[in-house]
Amino acid sequence: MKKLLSSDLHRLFRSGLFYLCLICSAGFAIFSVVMRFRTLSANPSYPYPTADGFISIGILYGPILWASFIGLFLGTEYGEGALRNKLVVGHSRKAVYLSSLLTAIVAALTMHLAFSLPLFLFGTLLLEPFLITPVELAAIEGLSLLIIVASVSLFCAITICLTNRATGSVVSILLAFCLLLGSMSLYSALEQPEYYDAMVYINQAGEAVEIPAEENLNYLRGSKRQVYETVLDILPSGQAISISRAETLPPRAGRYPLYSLGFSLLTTGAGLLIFQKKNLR
Amino acid sequence: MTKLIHAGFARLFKNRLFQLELLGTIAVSIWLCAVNYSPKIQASEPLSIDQVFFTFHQLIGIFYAAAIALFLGDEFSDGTIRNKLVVGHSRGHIYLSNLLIVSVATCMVSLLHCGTTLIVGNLLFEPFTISTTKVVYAELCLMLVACVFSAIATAVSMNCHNKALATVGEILLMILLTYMGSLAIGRLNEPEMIYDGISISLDGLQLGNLIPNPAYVTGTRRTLLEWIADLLPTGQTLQLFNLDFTRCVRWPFLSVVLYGVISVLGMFRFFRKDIR
Repeated sequence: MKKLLSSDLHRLFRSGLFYLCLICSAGFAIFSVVMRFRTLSANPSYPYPTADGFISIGILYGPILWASFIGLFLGTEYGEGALRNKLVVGHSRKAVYLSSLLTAIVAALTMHLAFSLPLFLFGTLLLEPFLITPVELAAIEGLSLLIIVASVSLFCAITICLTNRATGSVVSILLAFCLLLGSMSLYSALEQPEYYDAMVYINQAGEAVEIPAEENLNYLRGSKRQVYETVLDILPSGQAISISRAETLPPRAGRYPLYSLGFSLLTTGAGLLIFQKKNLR
Repeated sequence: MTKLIHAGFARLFKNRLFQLELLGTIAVSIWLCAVNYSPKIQASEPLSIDQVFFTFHQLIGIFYAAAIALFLGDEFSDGTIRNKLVVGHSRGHIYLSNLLIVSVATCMVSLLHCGTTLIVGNLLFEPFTISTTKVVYAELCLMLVACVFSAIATAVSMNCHNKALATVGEILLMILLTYMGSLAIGRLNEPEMIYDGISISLDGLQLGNLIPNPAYVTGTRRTLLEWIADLLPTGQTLQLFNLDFTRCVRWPFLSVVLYGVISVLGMFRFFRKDIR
């Protein structure tokens, strides 16, 4: 396992694709800060003068990049017969799988760092000082780490279990995209207000018109709300969107570590089970 | 060329992925109608069909790219292109026949969505608020947009022999185009005037003075941004989603130009490619 991990990491740090992904991550962070800086230069009263809102953008959109990279990087193992060779020289399937998973986690974490470090550097230099406290930041980064592990476990399971490199990449990317969109829909459904506030406005005739508070028909209630909340909290993309919208720790953040670990164990377990029985050509 | 087109269509209609995509289109069109329908809301504030009709096309480029890349990628990985060249077909004919096949396939997906949504949507929602002519025109524009997506995906797939790399590249390119389209439309939709403050007191909502919006783009920059938004297929789909037909006259023209330019560039590169 040690040798496998060492060779996989060696291959990772020599991969041009990996460095391209790092550049894309850093570029996205710098682009976000520069765009905010330009908005603030044109409109100094813009309500968001700091880069706090961008801290969790990396884990929100990052999965699309991680899925692309994992699909291509791990898919090569099949394409070039490296996987079969590893087994022929005596490595167990479990060791091969876990080594690939750990390498992919290292890659995704490095990409996250490549996003976060320029964000903090350029955010501090160009925008107003960050409002987030060190404790909140540490908690968000801790949760981000677990979200990365959970997402990567899912993409690894798909890539390693699908023999075709292109199909594995497509399924991973589309899944990352669909999970993001699905989580966004779940989040907006849960964010609906229970009642529309009462309002008074002056009509064209100059009379005050009163609109009483009204029940929102789209508000989710009872067990349906609980199901939506649980699904949102279990999905890594759901956790990411809740953190990014709250810009600090969301109300149900206490359960996130447990859900992330459970999700990682489940996807890795399923992936290992399929991989153990897979006919490797 | 006729033989190539004939063989290409035969492969397309037998392709599992294409069959799955057609079934997926019907399923997603029905699902989009179902999620937007609520008997309670329909009774109080009825939705019209145009509020669901254009939702499908917002991210469809990503799915077109994935399907086209996998379909055309086989040509390289299975050595079909080399075989076609060996038996005497020209590179131009091979490129054009593939472009035609995927363009027809994406147009079929667009038409299938249109038909399904019209059937299901008419049962659940109020009729279109826009005129029938506009609906037909919009569908024509959407089919041209589908052709532009096909041209982009074909240009990449026919010039990259690594199927996986081409697939990932095309999907990421479509995501980037979607982002660029929304960025351009977002800037164009900024209001010209804004209130300098809003406060709520016992007397109700108090609006401040109307001032020019610093984010509002004017002059040459606005004209340029409008052309970019209209040129981008994702910009056109987003404008249709907003039911904004202000500059719709130039959309078909721009789509045809973009389709031609991308295809010529793709073909030019394909002529010089070393096919192993």
